[in-house]
Amino acid sequence: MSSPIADLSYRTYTGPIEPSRWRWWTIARMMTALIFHKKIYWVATVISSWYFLVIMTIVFFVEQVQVSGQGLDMLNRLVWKDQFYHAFGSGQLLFMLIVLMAGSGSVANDNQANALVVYLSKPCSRLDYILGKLIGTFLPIFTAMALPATVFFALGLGSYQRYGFFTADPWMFPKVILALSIVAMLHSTLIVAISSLFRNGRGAAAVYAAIYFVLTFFAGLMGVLYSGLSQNNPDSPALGNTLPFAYASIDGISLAVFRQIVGFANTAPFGAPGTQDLIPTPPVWLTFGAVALVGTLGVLILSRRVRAVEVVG
Amino acid sequence: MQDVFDQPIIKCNDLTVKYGNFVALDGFTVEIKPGCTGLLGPNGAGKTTFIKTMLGFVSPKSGSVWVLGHDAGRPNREMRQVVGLMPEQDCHIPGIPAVRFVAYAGELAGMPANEALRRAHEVIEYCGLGEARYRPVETFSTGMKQRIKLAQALVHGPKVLLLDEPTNGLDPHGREAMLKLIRDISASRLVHVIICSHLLKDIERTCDQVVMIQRGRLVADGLIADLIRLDGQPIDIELREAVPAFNEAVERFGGSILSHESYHLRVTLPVPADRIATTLYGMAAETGAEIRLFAIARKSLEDAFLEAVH
Repeated sequence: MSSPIADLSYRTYTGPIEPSRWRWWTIARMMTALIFHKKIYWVATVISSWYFLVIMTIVFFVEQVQVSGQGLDMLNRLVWKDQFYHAFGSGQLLFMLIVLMAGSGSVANDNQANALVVYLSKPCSRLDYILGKLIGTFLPIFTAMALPATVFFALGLGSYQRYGFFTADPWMFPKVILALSIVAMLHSTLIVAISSLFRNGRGAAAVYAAIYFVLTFFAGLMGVLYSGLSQNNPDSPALGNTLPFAYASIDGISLAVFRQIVGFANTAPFGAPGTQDLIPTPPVWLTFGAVALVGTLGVLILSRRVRAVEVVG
Repeated sequence: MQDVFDQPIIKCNDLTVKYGNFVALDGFTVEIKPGCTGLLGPNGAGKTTFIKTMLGFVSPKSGSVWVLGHDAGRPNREMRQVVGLMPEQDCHIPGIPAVRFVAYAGELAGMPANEALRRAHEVIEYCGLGEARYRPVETFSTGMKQRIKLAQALVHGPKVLLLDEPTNGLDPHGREAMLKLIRDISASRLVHVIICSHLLKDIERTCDQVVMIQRGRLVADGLIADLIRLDGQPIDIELREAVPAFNEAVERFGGSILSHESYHLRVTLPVPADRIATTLYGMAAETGAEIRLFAIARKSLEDAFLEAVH
């Protein structure tokens, strides 16, 4: 007898169907899971937190010296919110790499594999798709930025309270998280929008990296110009015009957002004496206007580019 | 009372779709009945555009399409819940194994994650990819990619399955296997299948009815059996050897010989269908002819298509 034991005829699905309002979360969850499974992502996250590791080591050794009676004033001089700022600033390049890892292929790979037809032929709207891709890119970026800060905050809460870690600004941590979430949103909108313009992730990554480095170089030049002007002619009206351009990069906007929300006391990194000679923070409207502009541009690009079009490969 | 199974599953009324100045569908009106339907037409006839319009991927310039009572002209999750699409081109979610891809497609259709995974295994097994379920789709052969596209279209248990050129790029063995799968799905009566193809043989072998399109217009539609039927119910007869007396007997009986080539004959007989066999064997016995086979003569679907087009 050759008939199969199991019934191999076609059977339909009659099980439960979940409400459609969470469809975007399915997409975001899948994207996040794919990134979280990459070892390189976690390696980059750990390396991006090098400033926290160094400052924790310094604080540990300074505390040992103090215990042995040779007191140093360094710990009381530390401004904790500035440590978060320095840590954020020093990890920017690695954050950029994480952004490329998380977002460059988000839509581009789907364009290449005709996956949009799969998404949009299911009861899943373009809005679900765009939102899912944005959140799915945002979460890994935000996690990479916020996880080291959270660990440092937890350690500080347990060990550095006597140096004013929490008492100096009880809202410091929520502010840090808010700032990081805005920065992660900025990055994710931009990278997903650029990704939607391409048919492979590498092209999108190359363009994002090019934009990042060109703007960082330009903003750096403008920063040097601003510093020179402010030293030689502090009353020059040109200073006000130059200031926005010194922040006209992805890093610049990110640092400006951090300063606006968390604040910055201009202290030098690692609790070193003296102040950091820095360019002042740009106005609030300019900072958040730039964020809104980049965000709106990104969403506009996405809404135009995300279409169920089959690509003949 | 009209039987519910006679109600059309797709109603399309005066549909016009344009890409710039190019008219892809031009006042296209059709009603597709339940069962397995073939959308037949040469390349560029408007078959894929019709499917895309049904799914709301393309906005019509005018007219309307209704799929199982849902207006396809507006964003419609309910409609897509009951439709499964197997696109013409390769498609997959990059970077994940086949079973996860199909489960993910199920989750996108609203299935809970555990149900989607269970069903993905079931559908992948059904489509004959059981051994390859943990391989990334990128590494699949063309035949396997076709099967995985079918699996993702079936995973959420659609009521209407749209297959766009399902045998594209398949070798004869793969093609045969795919057609067998489609026949099996259609035979379950749980899914109404619409196959879009320019291959007449595929349509002829799998479908009950056909919609013929050319240059964005409907040229013919109906049951394949009706479309390939010849007027006057002619009969094809094959004799062991040519026997002129048999031909004479046919004419004497009041029949007529439509064509005659050696021992092949196409004849008409003035008898009802249930008496054809008795009559033919009677004439054969009388004239000493030996009938090897006889059958009701039909056109090929290709002939029917060419007739409709010209």
